[in-house]
Amino acid sequence: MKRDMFKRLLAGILMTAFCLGAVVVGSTKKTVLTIGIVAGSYWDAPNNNCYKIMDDAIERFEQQHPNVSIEYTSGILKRDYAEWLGDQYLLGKEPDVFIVLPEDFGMLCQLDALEPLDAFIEQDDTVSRAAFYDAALASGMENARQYALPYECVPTLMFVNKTLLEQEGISVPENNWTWDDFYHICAQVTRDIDGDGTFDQFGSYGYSWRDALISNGAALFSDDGMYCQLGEPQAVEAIAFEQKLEKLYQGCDITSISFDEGKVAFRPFLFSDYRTYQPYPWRIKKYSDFAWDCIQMPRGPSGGNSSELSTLMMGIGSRSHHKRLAWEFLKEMTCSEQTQKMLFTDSHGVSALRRVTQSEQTQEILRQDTPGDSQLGLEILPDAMEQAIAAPHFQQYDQALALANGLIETAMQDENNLELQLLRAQREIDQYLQN
Amino acid sequence: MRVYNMRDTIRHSMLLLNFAIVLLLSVVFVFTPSFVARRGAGLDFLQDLDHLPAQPWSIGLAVVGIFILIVVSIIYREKGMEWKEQNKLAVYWLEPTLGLIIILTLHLDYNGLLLLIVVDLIDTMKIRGRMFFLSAMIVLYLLTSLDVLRSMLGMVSVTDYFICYDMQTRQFMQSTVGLLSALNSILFIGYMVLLFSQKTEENTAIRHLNYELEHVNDRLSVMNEQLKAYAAESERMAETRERNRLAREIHDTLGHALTGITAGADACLQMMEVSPDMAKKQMEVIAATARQGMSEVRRSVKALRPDALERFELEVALKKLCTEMQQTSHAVIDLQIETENLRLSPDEEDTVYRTIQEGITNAIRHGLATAVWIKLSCEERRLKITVQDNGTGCTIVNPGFGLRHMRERLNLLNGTLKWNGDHGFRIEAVIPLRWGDEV
Repeated sequence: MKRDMFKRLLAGILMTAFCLGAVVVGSTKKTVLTIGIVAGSYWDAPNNNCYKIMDDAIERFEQQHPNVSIEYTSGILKRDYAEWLGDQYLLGKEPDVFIVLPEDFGMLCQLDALEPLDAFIEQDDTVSRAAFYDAALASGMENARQYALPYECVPTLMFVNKTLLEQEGISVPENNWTWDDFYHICAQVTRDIDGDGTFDQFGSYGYSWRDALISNGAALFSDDGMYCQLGEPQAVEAIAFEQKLEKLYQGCDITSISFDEGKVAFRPFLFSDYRTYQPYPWRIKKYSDFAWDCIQMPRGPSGGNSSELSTLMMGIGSRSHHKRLAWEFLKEMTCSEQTQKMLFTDSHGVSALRRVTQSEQTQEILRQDTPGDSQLGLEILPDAMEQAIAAPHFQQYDQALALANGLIETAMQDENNLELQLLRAQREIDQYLQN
Repeated sequence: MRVYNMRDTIRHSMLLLNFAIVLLLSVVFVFTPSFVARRGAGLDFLQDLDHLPAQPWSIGLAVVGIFILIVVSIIYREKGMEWKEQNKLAVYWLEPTLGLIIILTLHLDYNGLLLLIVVDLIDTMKIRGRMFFLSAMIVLYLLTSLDVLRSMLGMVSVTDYFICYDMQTRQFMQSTVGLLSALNSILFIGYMVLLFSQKTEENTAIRHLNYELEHVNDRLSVMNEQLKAYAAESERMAETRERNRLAREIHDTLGHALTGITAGADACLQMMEVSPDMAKKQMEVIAATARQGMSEVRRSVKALRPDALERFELEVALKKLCTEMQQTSHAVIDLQIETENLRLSPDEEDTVYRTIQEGITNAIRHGLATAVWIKLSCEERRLKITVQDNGTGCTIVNPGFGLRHMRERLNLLNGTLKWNGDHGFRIEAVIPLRWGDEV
């Protein structure tokens, strides 16, 4: 009996010693936080040092947390990133904090691969949802839960060929211009200049039915990705407008070269492209023949001057062992003014933080890069960000969109029964979505 | 030592089989991710899933679990029978818990393990515990068969893992797992059938034995009655024998003396008037005869109640007899007992005692011997008593009371008596022993 007691006591002591030892060893060891980031720009804009923002953030973070070291794998290109992340998840070696590409967000949510951030946001006094632009925040939401925070956004804006409009005696439209304004200008400028019998000057290039849908308050799919909403009146209206616009250029072959040569008045453009080509060296190289500017997209009768917001997000792996630290680092990347400010100097995107994008300093940076009397940066950017709409992100989005594209192209060929054709397309897409 | 039987073979096969299945599934779970990642198909793989697949290292838990389960199972089977109830109870909880951990780790893809656990524990359980255990295991088995539960727990089935292999490999793996688990079920059913048929056989055997026991009981009671009758009969016979013996004794001793006394007294009456002296002499003879008769009666009474035998073991009684005789007669008596541990019945002991007593008395009284040798030996379940003296002996022997009685007593035990008077006097008595198994 006594020996039994002794044995138990000894086992207890050994266990305690082991646990204590493990704790001591564990606490002296540096915690390693792994990060997953994309090399280069997500929007394919040339970038000299894509890791600069990250490196600076890491340096600041490591200074604040001496026991933490942060590691990341460099050189993962955008096209390989999703595959890389998937493999890491499969192998159980996924990073603690990582960039979430918009196209992967739906899949990651469905797999429960992302840690919900709501609890962190509620508990943290330094973070508030109101600090972010709505559309940017909505990009990281699924089923009313926040799974990722916006890191960098790029809205779509309308490029305007100022030189062409001046030649035609038209002033650059106001920011709150409408489809009618847009259509009238397009109809006015689309004509044959050199008299060879074919149109060689055009109103717009690259304005698609998707742009029209968004600016008319319509959506292709319901939020949960279960239904197609093509048959809704606003959607029909938007596609009818697109149909009308296309009719202007019937039989013409408009390419991006036409725009580069200064023969197109309007072209929807990503803000990142604007930021790339507007500053000095690039501007000369690409569009030297004409002056240009950016304004918001034209609004439809039922919508606003909105465009789709493309948002690069960051999230925390649901299986991370250092979620608290991961949250701290996520905050450093997405909520810190220092990091977000650098987006304007070292990247081509826009910060999702209102206070950063609207700050005097940011405006100053944009103004410095922008020559002459360009409007951009001063009023447009905050407005465009406020009015932007988040792109849907359910799992089959890309395939469903491709299917919709084909069906709508076909539907638009029918000039008389567009609504009927769209309803037919909607049925077909619904079938795909629900299977 | 346990007997190795068919059920043990099945159980061991099941252990091996389950180990193989768990290992196979673990291999699929561990190596598929790296296989997929090497092919760069991770994203496609993930896109088809509803949940995040488990981290490959977590499967190690299943492998460790099955090892512990097998070790526990083997130790329990070898040593568990002698354990305390408390320790057995611990095993009853430990094995299902381990099983559940393994099943959960393997994403509910293989719950045949529960069958192994049932096979492992069921036959050492008590009836009530067994019912509880079985129903708990059935509930667990049903629960773990639910695909809904798997998706609720956010687990990925091994079937989803199979998809990323080419057709042939997939079919091979699927059919291997299917075949092995089917085999496991078959073995389980086999085990149960054997277990229950054995129980049924045992029950039948017990019923049969019960029936036989009843039958034997009946026969036994009949025999008991018969025995009682025999006992009564034998008692009556013993009584008769005893009466005869008493009559013999009375006739031999008292009758003889009284005859002599009566005859002498008659003669005395006639002689009184003729010759008072002669009558007086005759009276002395009568007195002597009466005294002799008296002593005969005493001897007889003594013979009827052998106190010595009641108080001592035969050997001690014989030694005491010899010592007493030697003291009164001054003859040398040599008692030689070559047998050990004679388990004689009272009548046999009595006869042996009487024969030797009579032999010594005869030697001293009639043979006037100065030395008597007594030997008790045993050959082939026959007890042999020899009494030899160095006295006068006699060529023609007229058997008197003593010898006759000796013979009668011996005849009652189917024994024999021989005598010879050539060199001193020698008697040899032989008694066949009834219970002489230990001689």
